[in-house]
Amino acid sequence: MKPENVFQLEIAGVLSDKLSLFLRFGFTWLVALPLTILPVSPGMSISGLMMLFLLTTFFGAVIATARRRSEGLFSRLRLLPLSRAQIGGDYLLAGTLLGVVRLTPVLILFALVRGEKISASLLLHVAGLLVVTVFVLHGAGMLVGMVRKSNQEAHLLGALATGLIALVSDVLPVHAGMQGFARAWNPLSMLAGSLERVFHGAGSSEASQALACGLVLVAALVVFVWRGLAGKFAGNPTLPLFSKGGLGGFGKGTGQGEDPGDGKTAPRE
Amino acid sequence: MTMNAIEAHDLVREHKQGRGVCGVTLAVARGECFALLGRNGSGKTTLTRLLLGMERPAAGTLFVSGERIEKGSRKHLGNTGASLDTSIHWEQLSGWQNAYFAARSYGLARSAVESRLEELFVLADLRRCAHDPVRTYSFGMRRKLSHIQALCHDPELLVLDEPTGGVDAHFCTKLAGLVSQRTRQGRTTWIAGNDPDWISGVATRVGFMDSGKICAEGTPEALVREVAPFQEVRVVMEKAPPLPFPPIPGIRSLVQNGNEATALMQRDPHLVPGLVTWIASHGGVIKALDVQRATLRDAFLLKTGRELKP
Repeated sequence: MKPENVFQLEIAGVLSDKLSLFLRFGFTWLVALPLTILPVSPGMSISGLMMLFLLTTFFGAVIATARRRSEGLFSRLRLLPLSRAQIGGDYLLAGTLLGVVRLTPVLILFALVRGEKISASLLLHVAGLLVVTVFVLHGAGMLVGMVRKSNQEAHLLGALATGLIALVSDVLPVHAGMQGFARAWNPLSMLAGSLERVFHGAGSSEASQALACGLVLVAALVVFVWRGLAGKFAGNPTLPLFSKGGLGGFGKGTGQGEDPGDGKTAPRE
Repeated sequence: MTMNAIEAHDLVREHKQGRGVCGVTLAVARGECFALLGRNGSGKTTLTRLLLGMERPAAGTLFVSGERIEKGSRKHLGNTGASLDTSIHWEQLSGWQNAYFAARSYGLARSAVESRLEELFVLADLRRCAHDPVRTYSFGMRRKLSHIQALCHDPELLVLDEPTGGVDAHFCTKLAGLVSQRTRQGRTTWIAGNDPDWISGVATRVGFMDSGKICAEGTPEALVREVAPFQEVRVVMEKAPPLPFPPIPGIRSLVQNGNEATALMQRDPHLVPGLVTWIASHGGVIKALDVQRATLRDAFLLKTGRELKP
């Protein structure tokens, strides 16, 4: 795979390290297995899965971001004409895609083993919420990971933040009144709620919710395909940061396809 | 808008440890190869990072490629290739993948990337391991890969920090040729380094940096001439008649010791043939001749060696 942007770079990096890939996916599925197939209470099963989601997405993003910072990968990227938004956005999208791919089998297994009378709209609802949850948690994890540079501090801060998110998401039931509040805004809490409906066989989801989640899925798919294929056929893989000839007027040979006469300058897009 | 490739006025960037850049003013014209020599911690890398917009100046102004540089300035990077003193790569990916990503990020056309990278990987002698993961590369190979990434889009401004550190002599020679070619083509190169011998062969202008300031600046020849205006010529003769003091302007002294004579003269390239002709005219048959001139290294040591200063 020839990476053309940070999104493709990250995906290529993950795919090229087979052992790491096996460990990442293996850990998730190994932890998820008893929570889905063993006859534990639904509360325990869903809370366990939500904690797993938190660990694999939020905590994982904290550690990965701190590692990238300490290894100087962000500094390396900052030498290229890429904006912070491009770099961060591509990392976020790549992390979201990997998180969704990693966690989708867990939800499928949960639905198959523990689900009752599941409608298509409910499935759509769960899938949309999964994408949103992974996206939000991964983004939050990246922000926390940027705070500390050392891995040790990032681990500590990440663990503390994971606990806090678990509390405000009603993953760890501390107060009954908290649930309604959390489910009004917190995607992790909403996902837990939708899994409860899967478990209890609540049937279909509200049409508006299913539609919103369907749109989220379509948008996510479009964005993943766009970043995954950006630059593969034609055009510049980076976002159009600068227009041609708009590089500060450096004069002759601005690199925008000009040939200074030596025949060496490679054309640009 | 400035016409120079790089222009700095009273640039200040201080670090907590006390090192950094303390009031640097300089201008690098387009098409120049400017090299900065300095001790470790003299501020070379800080100044280089300022050029790249990786650090924010505390005071002063800096223009690169006509753009005023603040922290986070990005616009000039499209036409700049930088290889810093630490080689950072995506270790699990191959050298080719790393370079490909850099080339495409700089906006090099897909059709041009392969041939350009092929050319550079061959130049760096990395072709055979181009598709191996970078984690299997040696230190020197990683440095070469950094240089490839900086050069892949044939930038208007090339920034090299410690370019010869860890790389083999073959590559150093090829890199010197490449940088000289760039200079002939009117492209600008900025070098921060610690290798005066290599720099004297490529730089059109050199600055000596000490304690965050540029303490001397000029062409390599002028800097050397400034600290050591004389050269020493040692002549070994087969047949050595007693020689009088030569009446050649520019020769300061001549000391003869048997078959050997040592002359101290100005750094004028015409003086050595003049001395040889004069010795021959006095019946001397020359067997060997050795010209010892001060180098950029000597000039640098004398200019920045604090313990050598009065």
